[in-house]
Amino acid sequence: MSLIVCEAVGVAHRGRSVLDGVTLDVGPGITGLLGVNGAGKSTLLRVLAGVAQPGAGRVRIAGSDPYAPGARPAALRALGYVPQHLDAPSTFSVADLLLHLCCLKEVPRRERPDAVGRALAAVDLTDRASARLGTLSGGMRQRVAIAQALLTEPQVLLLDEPTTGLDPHQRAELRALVQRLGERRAVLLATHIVEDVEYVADRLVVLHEGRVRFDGPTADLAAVVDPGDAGESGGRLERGFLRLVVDP
Amino acid sequence: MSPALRRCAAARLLPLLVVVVLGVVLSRGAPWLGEPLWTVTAIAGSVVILGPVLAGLTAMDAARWNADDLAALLRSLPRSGVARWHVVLANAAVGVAVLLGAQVVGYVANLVVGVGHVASPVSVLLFVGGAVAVLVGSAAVGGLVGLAWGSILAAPLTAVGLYGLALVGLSLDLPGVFYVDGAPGGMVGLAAGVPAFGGLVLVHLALLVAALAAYARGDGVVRRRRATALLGTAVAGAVAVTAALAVADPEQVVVDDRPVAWDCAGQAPRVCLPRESPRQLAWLAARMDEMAEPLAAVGATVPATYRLEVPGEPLDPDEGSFAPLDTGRLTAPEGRPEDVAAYLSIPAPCAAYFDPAGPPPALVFETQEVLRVWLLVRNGLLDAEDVRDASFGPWMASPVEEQAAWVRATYAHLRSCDLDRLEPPAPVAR
Repeated sequence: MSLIVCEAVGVAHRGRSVLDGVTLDVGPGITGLLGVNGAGKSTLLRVLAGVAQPGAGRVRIAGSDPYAPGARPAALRALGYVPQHLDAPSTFSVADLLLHLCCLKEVPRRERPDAVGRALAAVDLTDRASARLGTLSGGMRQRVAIAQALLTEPQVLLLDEPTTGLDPHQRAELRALVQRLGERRAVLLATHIVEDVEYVADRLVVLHEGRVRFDGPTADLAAVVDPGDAGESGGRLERGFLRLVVDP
Repeated sequence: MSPALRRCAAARLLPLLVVVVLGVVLSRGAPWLGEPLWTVTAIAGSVVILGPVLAGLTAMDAARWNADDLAALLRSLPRSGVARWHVVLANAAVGVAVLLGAQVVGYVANLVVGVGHVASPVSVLLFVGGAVAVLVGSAAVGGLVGLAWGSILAAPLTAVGLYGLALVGLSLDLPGVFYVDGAPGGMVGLAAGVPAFGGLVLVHLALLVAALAAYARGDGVVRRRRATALLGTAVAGAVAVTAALAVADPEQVVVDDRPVAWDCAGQAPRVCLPRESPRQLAWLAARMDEMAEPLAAVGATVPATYRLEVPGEPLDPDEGSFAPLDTGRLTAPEGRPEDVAAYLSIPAPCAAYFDPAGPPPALVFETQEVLRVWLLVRNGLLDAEDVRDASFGPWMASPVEEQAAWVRATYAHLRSCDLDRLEPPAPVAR
């Protein structure tokens, strides 16, 4: 079942091509979107999230076009988008921010407290509901960012560099959380850190200079280096990635 | 209460807004206490400071919600077009709540001192509505500046800029767009000008629509063209109405052409104050009665009724009239005997006093002054020795039997407005 469809998407910014003919078809499970900084990952996620209309191509989220006025609400209700940084005002408490976003996500007023409770439970933050955002660690703020995406229990989750700025322990926790979330929905996880997707993603898409350089099962990326390379799998995956993007 | 309302900058700095209103309203005491419409305008006038402060706080919130990733997140939501409307609406709501709360407190304070009559409820609505509009418009301006600039520096600069705009408007006598005017000496006989407040409300409504359209344009990914058109229309509307106000220059405070309702007390003379400002009536009636006794004793005929001069209200030549010169003289629970003596020394509203060609001869004022001092001396409030150096000093020290004829004749001339027949007291040998 296709939950994210991207057909020949192109985006240009100030005359420079940021995305060029990107085509994807993503179903349930976790898909890693790998690329170095500036590869176009965040732009692609923004295009998919209905934030930035592409100059070319088409996008479908759960079958709906987020840029068609009539279909946009259905598309946006089906997705949860987690930007790289949640820069919400630090004076908001966790619960207040989520309640406010519930309103913007059209969650009926009576259902909002339950929706917030479920989302916080999903990211293990129930006990920090009343904490101000400004008092949270980077890892907790990332979990809040994910919690807001889960308020409507979306079919599609778009995560943009969710482990940026986290320590190794927090990154491990977040990867475990993403793994849980991917059991019931399509998760597209954008990152430049191979380790983030190595053990959780079933499929990898490598984006470089706005183009898809690889799209296939995670294990196949390692084979890009050398099918006969018998080294440790993590190292092989990274070498495969680097070969695609540094020495294509 | 919604989180956006509870967490907006204005709500978090609510004490600041309250202090601003209190500071502006009480900065010159509380002469307005005792006159509900004056109280309304005094509190409404606080928007000249409250508005810029609110604009600054809104700009601060706008800047905080301007972060790139956060804006992207908001654009990904089903209600993205209204995702940041709360920045303007929540801050405006808190500012309006502070203003309305102050108005309620002001009205209750008037009830406590025994005054509850409002001569013109429509004027109350216009003054309060105008002040509310200024606050909403100020929040809209703050939202627009914060959206366009996106820096926390937008907060102080917006506040200072808007206050400067109000000051420029006031100093150049431009039509009031970011302030609400009142009358410094009270609002009896005055009302709100409908064209001025109608225009003011339209300007700020247009600013609000412009701010909301600007946010919808920025955050709404589809239908941006519609938001852009609305933004342009609203800005053009605000400019057009402001220009129309500048050309027509309507007054915010106009003379109320409806008859005044009076409360009267006392017998000799009977004293009448407007029902909307009767706080000093009992004291004034008793004091007028008491201080008029020396006049009656020498055979002068005091007017049967003394009535406050009210703008737009025709004066009865058979009645005495009085007009306090200083702000708040009539809203205090008690006045000054010196003022009562002055009222009694002007027993008729002669046309010559209001002649646009110029004031009456100096002798008229000198005569009234002699009469005023005589009343104070005869009532034991002043010693004749204290004025012995004045030109009329010796006369003042003479026996009352020698003064009676001059007082009687002078009072009769002042009552009948035969001002040409006034003469100074006859010289008395020292």
